Amino acid sequence: MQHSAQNRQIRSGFITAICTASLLMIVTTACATSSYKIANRDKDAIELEVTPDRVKLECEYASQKNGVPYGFMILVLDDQKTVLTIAQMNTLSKEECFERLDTIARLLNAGNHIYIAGVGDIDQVRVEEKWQVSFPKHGTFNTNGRSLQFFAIANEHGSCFDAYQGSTPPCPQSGIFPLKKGTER
Amino acid sequence: MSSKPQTLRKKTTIVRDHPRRVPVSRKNPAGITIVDQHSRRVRGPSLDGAAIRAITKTHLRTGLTYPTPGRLQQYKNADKYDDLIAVWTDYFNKALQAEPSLEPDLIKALIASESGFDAAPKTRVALGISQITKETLSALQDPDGETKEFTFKKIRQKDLKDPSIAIPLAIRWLIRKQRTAANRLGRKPSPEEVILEYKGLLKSTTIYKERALANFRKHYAALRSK
Repeated sequence: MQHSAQNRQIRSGFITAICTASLLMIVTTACATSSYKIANRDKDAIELEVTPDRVKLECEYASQKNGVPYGFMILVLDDQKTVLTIAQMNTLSKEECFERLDTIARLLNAGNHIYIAGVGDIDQVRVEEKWQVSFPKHGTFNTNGRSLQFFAIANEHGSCFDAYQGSTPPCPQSGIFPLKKGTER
Repeated sequence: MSSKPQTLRKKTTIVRDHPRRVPVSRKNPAGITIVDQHSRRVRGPSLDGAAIRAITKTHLRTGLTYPTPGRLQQYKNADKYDDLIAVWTDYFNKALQAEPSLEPDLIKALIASESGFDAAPKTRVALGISQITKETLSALQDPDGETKEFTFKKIRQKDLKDPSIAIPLAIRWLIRKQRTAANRLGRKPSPEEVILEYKGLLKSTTIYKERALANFRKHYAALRSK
């Protein structure tokens, strides 16, 4: 009886230790690996390098245009804890938008380094807007008024998606975006 | 050789009294009746693919306003369609007496946002460089529809992958949208309101609308800056 009580105590202590260590590891890893930076820029052509935990995809019902009411957006948590919007500027059908969302979600899940190409003013003064976006590992943050036109997204393994030609090579179609790490693979 | 825009005929015409054959009856034993004077609606001009290409080729270039080149360098083919834009903006401004006239830079900024000058983006519902939807293509070819004063005919969905067809249709549709925006707002719309109406975003209150608007403003300002 005494032995089994001791064993139980040891076992529960061991489990607690493992849990604490795992939790610490998860927290440390998540904090250490989350990153946001501008990898390349040529005037308004911007290439971001971010970790997937900072990226959220959205299909917003926005337009009255017949058959294509959805606006596709990639929302990125920046280094100042504000949210940058990268938007596909032609609206899409519901099926097209959610297919795109699924394809890009797979690309995000498969990578640790995500490269996003867009065009716009990344230096525009941040303004706190009314829209909020939640990132599971970070919290809820407001959009900052900055926006880029979406051109392409890729991960470090070579998966790439172009705003207008999808996964059809060459990706990205526009030569101004190297999506550097992606093209070196 | 030059091609003048087809000026619009009057929407209605007066038909004079004229005889018409009818079944013989007690009322009309001769089998002929006299139809009174009445008005008849006249359909507007209509262009098919061949006519569009002929006009593109022969339209007088002298004095045309071209979109500003060299300002949207982030797009691979940004200046490739300047001639088409200039010709067809001029053509429809004159043919439809657009008030105010559409500017070629407005069309160029619209195309930048719709397709990034990609002639055939991989989209299934809205097609081609100017992302015309199947419903819009039908409306543009309906002789009794909302663009009946000037329509197109025999344009297939696959033709929209050809910018020489898609751009004239987009400009015609944008002039229609300029009018619908004016009706919805109760005043003359600004260039950006016309673009929002084309995109179906005029009355939207979404973040996507704000982003589309910011994007258009940026392109348009780049094209208009001296």
